[in-house]
Amino acid sequence: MTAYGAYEPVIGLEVHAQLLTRTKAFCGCATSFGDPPNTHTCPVCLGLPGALPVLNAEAVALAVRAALALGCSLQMRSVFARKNYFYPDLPKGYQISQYDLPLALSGVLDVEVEGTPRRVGIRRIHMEEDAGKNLHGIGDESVVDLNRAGTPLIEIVSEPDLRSGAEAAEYLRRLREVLMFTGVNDGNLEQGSFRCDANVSIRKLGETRLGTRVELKNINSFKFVADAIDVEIRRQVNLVERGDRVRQQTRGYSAEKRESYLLRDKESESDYRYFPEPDLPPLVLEEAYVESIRSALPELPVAKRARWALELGLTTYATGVLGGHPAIARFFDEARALYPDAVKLANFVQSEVLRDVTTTGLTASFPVTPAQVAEILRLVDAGTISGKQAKELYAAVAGTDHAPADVVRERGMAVLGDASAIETIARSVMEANPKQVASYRAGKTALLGFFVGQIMKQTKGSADPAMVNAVLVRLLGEGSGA
Amino acid sequence: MPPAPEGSAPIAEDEVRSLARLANLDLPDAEIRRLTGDLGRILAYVRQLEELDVTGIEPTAYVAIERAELRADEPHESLPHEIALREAPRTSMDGFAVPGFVEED
Repeated sequence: MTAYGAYEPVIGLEVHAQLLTRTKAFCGCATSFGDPPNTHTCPVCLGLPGALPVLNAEAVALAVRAALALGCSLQMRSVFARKNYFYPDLPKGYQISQYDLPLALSGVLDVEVEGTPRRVGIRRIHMEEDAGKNLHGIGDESVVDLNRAGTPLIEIVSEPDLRSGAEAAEYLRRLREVLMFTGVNDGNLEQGSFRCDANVSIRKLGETRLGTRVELKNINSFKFVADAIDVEIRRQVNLVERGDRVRQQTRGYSAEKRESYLLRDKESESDYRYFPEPDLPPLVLEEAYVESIRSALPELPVAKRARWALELGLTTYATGVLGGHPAIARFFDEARALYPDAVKLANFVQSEVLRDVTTTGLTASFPVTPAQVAEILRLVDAGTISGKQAKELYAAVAGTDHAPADVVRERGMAVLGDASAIETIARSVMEANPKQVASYRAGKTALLGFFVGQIMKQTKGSADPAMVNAVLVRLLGEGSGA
Repeated sequence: MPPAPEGSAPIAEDEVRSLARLANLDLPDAEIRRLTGDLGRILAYVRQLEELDVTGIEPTAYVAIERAELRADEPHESLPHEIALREAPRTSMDGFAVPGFVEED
């Protein structure tokens, strides 16, 4: 039995990820987001007659990097094809994509759902171009912006290996992470640079054939992915249980209503009439080129977290928090190069620094530098400041380029750890409070707290408490005759 | 396309209708009939190629150029906004005005 009774859901995902190039796939127009509409277009991406596409080398390099990071076998010769359909955001009347000879085949992505590891197959990765954007729908009219048209994408098609909405969401998280750590994609779901469609079907348990599938479009939030898929699975189970059948459809998902809705019936869907793109010769890769990209692959996030747990003794929680975003992982690694105690560092970064960090795509804004963090922790280790003062120092340094040691000096934050200096202060406190000294010496030792408090007041809390205690016990004990 | 039996019509009217629909063409019946005839004759002519034995020959889509030349990822100037929109039948709010649609990708 599954969570869906006698039915097993079968889910495959198609992810479109924008490649982080400076220019579009087939022309030199800058890739951009949020610029004034139709300011990054040219005859190629407008689809004007006679304009010829020329493939962007960096787009190829990033696509190859993604394919290698996902364990795919690269096709040393891949072919671009025209996918023909009419849509207002597609100026040429066809999309340049890859069809029967894609860039890469048969990869894997390991995910873990509720402690159970799952290996998800990746069927193929192909290169293609993005369409334009619908700016506004006003009444019966839409307005199209072609700045995005021609932006290079990879489409990553999974095998139908996923069995629940939660598994699908986990696959997406891990996939996004791999693409971000390899610098292929910025993982920005809100801006649409990482988009997902899901193919969902159900079948009776034990059945090996696939059921009729429904394509769920644009489920562009991690929060809704699992929900959208689960809702669709239940819709299909309900249909079948009442004796109806699942129709091949394309559906959207409404998060507000928590239901999927019909976009169009697939049975009448147009035939794309793919054929080899006559304007682009085949993409041929050399072995040495592929190897150079393979050898430059950065450590992947799962491996990095496992290594941190093993070598640095970090908890799974800590590796997850610090190793979940490439910029945060880089910050931690840089700080670690300057400060050797990884556990202390991890605790401090998690409890203080990450509170103030915001990430946008591949970048993160840190209020402090790795060097400032390392210096704060070194000041604690040296006994110059207390652990509690470290938080105060962090707050004082955050958002500035001040050296923590300078701030300690300027603010007089240093712990007073010099025994003779403390003794001088202690003697003056004792002289000023002869009655309390006498009471203490007569046995009212609870008064120690009073003296500690006086010293702390005079030193504005910067005296080392253990040292103050020791000095006071010694000095007060001297005249007691005890 | 599956090989057609000898002497059969190479293309039927409903296939022409469906091709017209894919090409966004709204054709009257008379035009469909005329095109079915025209396309049939073209296909019959091309069908002569079926006489060739192509066993063991890879499908060929490109002859002149073996492989794609790649372009460096360096931005070039784009068209000025007004030039980009100049050929559009209708414009609105800095964009191409089109019949209302829902973005799907």
